[in-house]
Amino acid sequence: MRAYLDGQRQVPPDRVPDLLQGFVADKIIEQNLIAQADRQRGKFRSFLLMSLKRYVIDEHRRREAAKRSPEGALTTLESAAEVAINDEPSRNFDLAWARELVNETLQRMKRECERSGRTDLWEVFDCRVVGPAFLGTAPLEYDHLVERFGLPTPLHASNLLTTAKRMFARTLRSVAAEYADDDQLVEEEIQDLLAIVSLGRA
Amino acid sequence: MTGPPQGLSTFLALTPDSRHAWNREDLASIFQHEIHAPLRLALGDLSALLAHAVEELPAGKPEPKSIEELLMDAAPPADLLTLLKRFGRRCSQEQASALPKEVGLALYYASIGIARQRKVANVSSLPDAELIKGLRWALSRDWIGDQVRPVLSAALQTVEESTGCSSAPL
Repeated sequence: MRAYLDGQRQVPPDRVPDLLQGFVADKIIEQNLIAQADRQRGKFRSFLLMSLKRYVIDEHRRREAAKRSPEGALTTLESAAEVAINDEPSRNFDLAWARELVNETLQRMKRECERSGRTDLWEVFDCRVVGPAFLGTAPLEYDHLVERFGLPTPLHASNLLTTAKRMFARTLRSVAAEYADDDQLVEEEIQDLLAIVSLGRA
Repeated sequence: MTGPPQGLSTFLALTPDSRHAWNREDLASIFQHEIHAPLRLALGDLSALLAHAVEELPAGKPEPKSIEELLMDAAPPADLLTLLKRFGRRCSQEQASALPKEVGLALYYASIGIARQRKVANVSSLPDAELIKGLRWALSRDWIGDQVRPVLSAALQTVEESTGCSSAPL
């Protein structure tokens, strides 16, 4: 939600904390927004973003009206419309959600590897895939991979990487399932994730 | 995880069965590792067939301990070369193969070329023109090790001479 507000040109940066706090207090807590979400009518993420958009527009109108200026009134309508159609902040919101989803997946995968005594899976995934993708580090060279994990053949190296990738994919689905409560919505969430990062070129 | 995930889209492009991306240096290491690995482990799920083929070796014929030893053998067993050919072809064709496609392809052409050069029958019916093309391709890979390169060159020369083809610079 902060990513969305940070991306709104019409929202001064110093207004973001107040708007965020106001949305949580007025809408989520006082009006029990979450209870109003209807699972049959789409994703909770979309519902939340739409509610936040409406809240920002309402707040904007309320503040402008308070100025009681005819010229300001015209500006209010234009600005409100711009707030409503400017989808760049929505992309920021989506991208922040995508990052959160991936980060949560990685943390869970790491914990699961540690819990099950398969830290080799996490380490090989971290040094060949995660580090290069997130930190820009060079992937661990094959020779070092073999030496570090004591792999007797390339097939063992391949199996280790494949197992780690499958574990990541499985964990990603389980995390996505917490945002969506049936298989079709889980699949949609993952497709959304791919579309979002593709559009955002993150 | 802190910091911006700069390569999030690349990161998520991986699918559970997608091939892992290796660079040129890694390909050289993988090829070397593969040809020096214990033969009974190196061919993956063809290991059982390989064990059977080894049992059928003529008395006194030592079991090759690695792919390299098999390729260097003056009289390599046809069954073992055939299994290496099958393994190489599988790795070069299957989407989820264990070895990089290029390494599998090099093993495929090496097994057939060496069979042809050392007059080992019933390994492959690959046409000479395709074999020549494949061996030339393998020899043009700079990650092919110095041990195997002369063997492939000799195989290429044999096939070219048998077909009357002149050797073109690689």
